[in-house]
Order: sequence, then structure tokens, then C-alpha cells
Amino acid sequence: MSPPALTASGIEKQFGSVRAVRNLAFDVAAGEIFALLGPNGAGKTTTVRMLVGFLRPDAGTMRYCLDGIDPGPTLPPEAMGYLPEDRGLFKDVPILRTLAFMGKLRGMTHPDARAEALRWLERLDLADRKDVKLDALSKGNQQKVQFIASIIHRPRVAFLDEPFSGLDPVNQEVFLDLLRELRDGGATIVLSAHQMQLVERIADRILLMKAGHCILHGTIDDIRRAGTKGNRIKLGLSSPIDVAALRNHPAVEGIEETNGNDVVIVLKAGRPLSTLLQSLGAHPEVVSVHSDAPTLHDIYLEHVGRDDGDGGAE
Amino acid sequence: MRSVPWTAALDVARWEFRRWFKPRDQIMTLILSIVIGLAVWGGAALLDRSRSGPVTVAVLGGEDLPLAIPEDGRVQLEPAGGRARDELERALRSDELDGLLVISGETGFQLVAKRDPAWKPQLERALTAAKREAGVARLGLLEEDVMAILAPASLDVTLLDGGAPAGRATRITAIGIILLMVLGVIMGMTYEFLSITGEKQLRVTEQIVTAIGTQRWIDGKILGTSFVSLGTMTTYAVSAVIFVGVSWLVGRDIPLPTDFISFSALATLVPIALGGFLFWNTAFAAIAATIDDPNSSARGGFLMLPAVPLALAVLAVNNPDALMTRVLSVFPLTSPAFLAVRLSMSTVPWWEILLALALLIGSVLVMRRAAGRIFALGILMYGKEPTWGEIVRWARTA
Repeated sequence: MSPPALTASGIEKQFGSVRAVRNLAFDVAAGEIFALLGPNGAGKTTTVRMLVGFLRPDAGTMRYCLDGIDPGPTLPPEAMGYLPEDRGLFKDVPILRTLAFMGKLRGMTHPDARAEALRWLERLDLADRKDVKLDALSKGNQQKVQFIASIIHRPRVAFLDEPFSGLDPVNQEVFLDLLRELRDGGATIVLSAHQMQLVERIADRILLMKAGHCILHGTIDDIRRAGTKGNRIKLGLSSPIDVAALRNHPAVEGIEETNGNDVVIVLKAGRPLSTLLQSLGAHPEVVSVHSDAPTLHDIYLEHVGRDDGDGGAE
Repeated sequence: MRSVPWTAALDVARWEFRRWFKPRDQIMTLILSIVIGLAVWGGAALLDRSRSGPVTVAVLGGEDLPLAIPEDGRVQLEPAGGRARDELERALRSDELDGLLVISGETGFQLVAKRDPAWKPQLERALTAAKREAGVARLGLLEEDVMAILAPASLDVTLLDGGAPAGRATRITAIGIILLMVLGVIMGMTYEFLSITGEKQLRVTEQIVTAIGTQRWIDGKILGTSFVSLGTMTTYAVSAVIFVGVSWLVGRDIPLPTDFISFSALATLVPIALGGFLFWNTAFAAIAATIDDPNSSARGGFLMLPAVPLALAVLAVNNPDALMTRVLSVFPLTSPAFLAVRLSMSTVPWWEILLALALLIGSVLVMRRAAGRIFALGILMYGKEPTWGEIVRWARTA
């Protein structure tokens, strides 16, 4: 098995009296999409800023590994791509020139950077806008230019802080495809995001943060298993059921909704549906069953709660 | 922190230079200098023409005075010819006359005019000559002898090293060089200020410093904007030459110090000017990095600092070889302006030039480290500005 592309151990960061990141440890496998999730102030952006070398951790280590070679505590600029959370590029310069410059700073030759910028602009339907200034573009198109600037040099590891923010649903799908394309091309991607349904669709592994520390870490399945809630079951019944008796059933975590003869039940984690169905018996008769695994959104809310403002620092 | 090659700073310098030094703007400046030259001298010619119409002045009295028509012929003197003063004043009111000169004896002159007479100097010269001629005739002297006695003494200066003392043209050039440096400094610091504070607000910096680090980024910015300053200075210098050329073409004589305009003088002046721009732009980069919002920060006032040595350098024009001028021409804070003035007006020993350049480059190298450190920490501060104590502490850790 190849060593992880990134290994973070015990990293900490404090701003004044605020502990933004606390004893965070994780690793990112080469060629995977790794997502940092968490509410505002959870420490995601601070973590990304430390990973890209913009901030120095107060404690802990970060090691990288590219094709079995350790490049040291920071990645060489040509191997790393970075899309900051706060977007901004030169507003007074045509976008093609800006992109070629960004490629040059990441180690490309000027002709290569220009050619690659044109290819990406073509790919994202912006080729005819190559000579306009950033200000003249819509927010979504500015976001695309920002994205190109961060990956124009085909980085081995790309850090994307909130890559979906400000995008409409169509462009969100475009970005999902781009991220898959980068991964399939061999890049390792570390992203932070709020959009649970998008992360669920694309991330290979997830690290859920709250108040600067990790509260869940692993694949989507790992995280589902670590939760207390099982599948959500919608039962269609022939007549109303005794809800109080159902709530006390050992396989039931809770009753989410009752509507006439229908009832939505959340099972306890690891409890199979069959035990519930057996105990229901013949009355009322089960007419239909619909089962959904818990979404990342459910898991997120379960662990983080609905209070996003925990006084931390992004 | 990994080591980033120097070439990255050159890439940034090239980017900054291209971003701010726009050829189209420079060409427009040069074209404008032709237009201004033509407008200034054309306007001056029009003014001359409008005020050079003939003027008729009636002369009452002074029949014994040998009053001649002034040399440019504009003022025509007309004897009163028996007309009374009242009649002449009526003619003056009805614009038949432009003036009435009343002479009593050899020294009593009164001019009556309807409006302030612009031709008064010509008339005064004519009266002075007439008065002198009458006096010479009365004393029985020769006109040539009197002219020789009254002629001002002329001092012909010869310098031991064979050079010529600073003339009007040299002084104009020295002040012109100071003005060009002022323009260069203003343009450089304006662009650098816009660049650093703007990018900090737009968060451009974050993406770039992860690629090349803060020191290379600030090095490139300082270098790029210093070449913008030098380019601006060159454009305006060429523009001034064009203005002089246009002036010559329309027959206006503007003196030029031909002995100063030489390859060696320019070859010395360019590195001194560039050193000065690097010095000031390094200081500005550090200040700009600590500014959170350029619209409300009080630190913008520090941009006026370079005006002090440049203004002082104007005083050096009157005494280019005084001890204090020589000291200030090697002290890094003032040397670019003072040395430039001395180079244009005097002979500066080669060792003084080398010493000034060495001190200037040394101080730029020390300051760039401090500026890089301040920049690295300043760009992380959003929503507030570091105190002066913090800035000094950061600079000391560089």
C-alpha cells in the first residue's frame, strides 16, 4: 500500500484566546478526494491555511509524500494548488494574462501556462472572454477563473477551500465533474465545504470538525456506522398504529412523522428492519416500506447540532 | 520555508511593470508634451500679438528734452502741438490717444492713461535715455564715455579644474531632475500602495504567497514599481526634451546645459535614481502591508515623507559643494536627490558616488528583509492595523 500523500499529526493553532485547531490528526491517501466538513468557526479554513503553508501551526507536524518522496513540511509550488476561501484575483488585468501569470508562478513556462489557460477557458465556456477583465464577469464565471488559477499547473495536491460557494446548481455539477476529472488524473484533493449533498457525492473520505477538533473521520460508510441513527423507514399501514408502543420498540430510535396511516421511523444504528417488521404482526397490515440510509446532512446535524456559531475561528 | 528561486521575484517584477507601465499612456504623455509645447508658445505668441498694437502718447512740455521714439517702435510719441491739457485728456477718454505724458523740466514726468499701461517700461526706457542724453550734453561729455561708466561690471569666472560654473541652464536642469525624481517617486509609491492594499483587500495575496512566499512577492513588487518609477522619469525627461525641441522649432530659445547631457552623466544618474526608487518603494511596501483599509488609514500620510529630502535638494542647487550638501549626498535617505543635483551642477569625486551607491544598496538590502517580514505578518491582519511597536518588533526579527 502506498504511503499517504499527506499526514497531519497533532496540529494546533491558536489566535489570541481562541483555539482554532486542536490536536488535529488525519491522513489523506494519494489520489483521493478528502473533505473537511464542519460549521462556521470549526477550524476548516485555518487547517487548510496551515496545510498550504500560509499559516504555521503552533504545534504538530504535517508531512507530504509524492511518489514515495518526502518533499518536506511544505509542498513545492508546482505540486500544490490552492483555492482560498476568500476569492480574489487582479481585477484590472485581462483574465488570460492573470491565468498565465499564475501558471508561471507555479513553475510553468509562459507559453505552456498560456496554452493551458486557453484550454481551461475553452473547457469552461470562457474562451471568448479571455481578454476581458475579471470585474466584467458574473460571479459564477469569476469563480471558474479562480478555480482555473488554482489548478492550471496540474498540481499533485489541490487544496480547495469552499469550492462550491456562490455557484448555481448547474455550475455545482460542472465543478463536481472537474473535481472527478482532477482525481482521475491522479491529483489528491483536499476540500472544505458546507454543501453536504455535494460532498456526499464526491468525497472518498470525510473529516467532520467542530470547535477546532475532529469529531468524525472516515469514509461515508464509516461515518454512518459511527452514528447513532440507522435507516429512515417510511411505513404505509392499513390503519393507524399505536405510536407510543412503536416508540418503545428496541429497534426504534425515534418517530419522525405520522400522517394518517403512514409513519416515518428512524431505526437505531445497526438494527435491521426485519426485527421491527416481525414485531408489528398482522395488525395493522404493512402495505408499503421505503428505506433510506441516513444522509450526511443527518449525520452532520446529529453531531454538530443546529447551532453553528460556536465561537471558533475558521 | 522552502527556498524559492530569485527568478520568481523577476517574474513578479515584470508583471508589476507591465501592469502599471502602459506604453499607450507613455505615448500619450509624449504626444501631450508636443501639444503643450505648441499650446504654450502659440498662446504666448497670441498674447504678444494682442498686446503689441501701436500706442500713441501725446507729450505735453519737455521741448528741450531729446525724447526719441522707443526702440521697438510700438510707442509713438506725438507732440501736443499747442493743444491744452483738457483737450488732450478728452482725446484720451475718447480713445484717440493711449496716453498723455506731461513733462516738467528734466525730471518731472507724469503719465496719464485710461487703463494700466503695459507699455510703461518702453516709455520709461525712452525717458531715461533722453534724460541721460540731456545730462551728457549739459556736462560736455561723450556719450560713449558715459555708457562705459554706467555699464555693470561683468565677472568672468575660471575654475581651477577647467570646468565652468553653474549657469542658468544648469540650475534649470538640476531642478528639472529633482522634479523628475518627484514624479518617479509619486508614481511608484502610488502604484505600490494601490497594488499592496488592493490585493490584501481582494485576498489575491493569499494565493500567490503560497506559490512563491512573501519575500519574493514583495521583492518583485519593489523591483517592478521601481522600474515603473524609472520609466515614468524617463518618459517625462523625453517629454521635456520634446518640449524644448518644439520650443526651438517655433523660435523660442530655451538654454540647455550641453556639457551635462552626456552618456557618462546619464550612466551615473540612472543607477542613483533607481537606487532612490528602490529605497523609497521598499519603505512604502512595508507601510502599505500594515494598512487594513486605505480609505480610512492615517498611515497614508507617510507617503509624503520623500518630499522632504527632495524639497531640501532644491536648496542644494544654490550651494552644490557645501559640506552639508556633500554629507547629504552620501546619506541614503537623501543621497538620490542630493547626488543627482550635484552631478548636474558640479564635479563629484568618483569615490563619493561609489560610497553613496554602496550605502544606498546596503540600506535597500537591509530594508527589504524588514519589509518582507512586516509584509508577511501584515497581510495576515484583517480588520485592524498593527501598532508601531508590533511593526518594529516584526522588523527586528527579520
